[in-house]
Amino acid sequence: MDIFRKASCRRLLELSTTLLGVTLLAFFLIRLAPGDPVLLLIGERGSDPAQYREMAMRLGLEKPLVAQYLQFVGSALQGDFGVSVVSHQGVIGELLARWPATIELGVSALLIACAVGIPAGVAAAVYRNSVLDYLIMTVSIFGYSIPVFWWGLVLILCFSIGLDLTPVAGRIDILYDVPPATGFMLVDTLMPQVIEDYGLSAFGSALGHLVLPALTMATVPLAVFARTTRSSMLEVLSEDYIRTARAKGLSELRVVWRHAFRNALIPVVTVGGVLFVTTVITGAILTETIFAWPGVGRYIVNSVYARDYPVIQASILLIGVFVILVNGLIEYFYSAINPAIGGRRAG
Amino acid sequence: MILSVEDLCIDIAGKPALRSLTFSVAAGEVLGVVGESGCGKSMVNLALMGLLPDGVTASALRMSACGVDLLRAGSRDWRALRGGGMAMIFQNPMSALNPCLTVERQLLESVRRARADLDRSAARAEALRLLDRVGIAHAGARLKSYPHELSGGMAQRIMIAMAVAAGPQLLIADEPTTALDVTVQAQILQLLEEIRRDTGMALLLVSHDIGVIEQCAHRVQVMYSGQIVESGAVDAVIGSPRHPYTRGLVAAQPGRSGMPPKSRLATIEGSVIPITEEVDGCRFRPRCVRADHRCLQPQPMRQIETHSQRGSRCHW
Repeated sequence: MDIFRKASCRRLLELSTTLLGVTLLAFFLIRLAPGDPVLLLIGERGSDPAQYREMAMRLGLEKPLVAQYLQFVGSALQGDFGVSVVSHQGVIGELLARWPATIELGVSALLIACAVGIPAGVAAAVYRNSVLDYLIMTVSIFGYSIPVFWWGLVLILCFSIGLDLTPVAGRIDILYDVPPATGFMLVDTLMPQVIEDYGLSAFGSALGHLVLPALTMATVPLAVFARTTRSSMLEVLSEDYIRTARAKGLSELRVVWRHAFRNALIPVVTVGGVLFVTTVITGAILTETIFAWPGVGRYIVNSVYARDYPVIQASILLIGVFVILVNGLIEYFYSAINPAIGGRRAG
Repeated sequence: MILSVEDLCIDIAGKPALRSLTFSVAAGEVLGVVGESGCGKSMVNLALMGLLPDGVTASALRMSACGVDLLRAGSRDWRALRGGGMAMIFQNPMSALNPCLTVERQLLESVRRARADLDRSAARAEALRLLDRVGIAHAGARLKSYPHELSGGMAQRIMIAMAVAAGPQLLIADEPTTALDVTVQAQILQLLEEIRRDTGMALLLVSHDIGVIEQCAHRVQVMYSGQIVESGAVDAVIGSPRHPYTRGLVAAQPGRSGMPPKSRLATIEGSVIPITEEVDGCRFRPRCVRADHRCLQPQPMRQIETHSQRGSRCHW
């Protein structure tokens, strides 16, 4: 028990240091970038020093940097991230309103990546050095190397413009009026009231809008899943306990799925967690911009264009918190899969 | 004969590694196989179980176990044989158990393979009986354990429980005690002997420790660099070894009677030729103290006494 408490104390210390680093980065990086939010807001009138000073004071940008930073951290600790320079709305409210769209896209993308990438990796490992293996690995190299923005445009060109199968942008057709209950469009369109009004067509539309951006986002993690699963499976399949399982006379299917797969999953879960973060964040920024997906990624991009300092700072900080949370979750999964790590049954 | 092998050859990556092994095991018999690391002992076992790794191929004139022609066995026959008449335990019990599954799940797998008629609770009772049989205390609690919570000796006992679940006619024990400490080693060997006596199964016991073989086996065959160089009844082979390699092995045992105190332990100079390397004549010649011009010719297995199945691959 004492060890446990010690571990969580150390954990907490690590966490606060990480977050402190994130605030430093968030605050100073954006100020290092060229561009002046005051000028962007008041435009040509910025040539008048009085007007310039007045706007700078309103934004709190006239104080020394260190004072600004301390104020940012101080308010952030109280949960106050300030007001967007552009919309004059509270930053937290703006971000939280967009968060579900990003999560919905990210989770869908990751589900596609898992559902295709992991079985593909297992197949490649079981039939290693076969045509199937080479095929899967070649395709995954392409998947890994494709620039997301280009790939998204190609998908739009093929499926939306060429074949006219899917919509080009947005989350749902404008003719549907879906009240936001959870913020997740796939869930909201299944609410009783929406079903009463539109049947399942609203859900269909939401799904149709999700397919291309999710596929775009899924490509890189899918390739990584396939490669990680393959190498992990190959390693596990050469373990002694796999030989034991075969010596027991078990079928190859059982050997692969029951004895090898679960062990092979351990590194895949780690990679999956990292991928989830990178998919949701970096993927969101590119994919949401291409598909006009109203999520956090696009909001951050727009805020950067507008040099909306409070929004950028808050977004980066929230992303930092998100990453830390996901890492905690990975560790939990880890111990659930591998009994030797969790130690919860030991003794 | 439970196991009968004639002229078994094993190639690694296309190169001949094990050369024309001929041997057999009778019901209830313990055949010991002894030899240095790297002489190909484990390869033989894996070939007998049909578990050779990729790139390693076996061929033979005849190879049959438990009445099944192994040369003609398809994957279905192999599986039936592995979960039935033949079983195997391995050198390192800790890595031979799946770290992600409880003892119960791994043991029940074997029980269910052997006895498909048992329902869940009967299978569990059978698992408990097996654990009890291999001398595991608190069997009920142990079922819930994961392999990392077991000691090496316990893990090997559980491996044995899994192996004997189907009541095999032949158990292949590949260095079963090498990874264990000496007291546990003695217990495991005794357990194997007890089970063999109770069930009448045959045991193919592989070890690099000639003391272990002397203690447990009825017959022994000595392997050197991919060949059987001497075979026969344990007392005869270890009591009066004929092949220079066997003599070296026997002499290299510490504490052998007749050795004056504080004298230097005998060794065999040099090291084993890699099994895939080609050698003219006798493969032991480069290390043999008695080598002469005759040893440049390949040495066939020579019958020593007509009735004792005793043979040596040496002209001396």
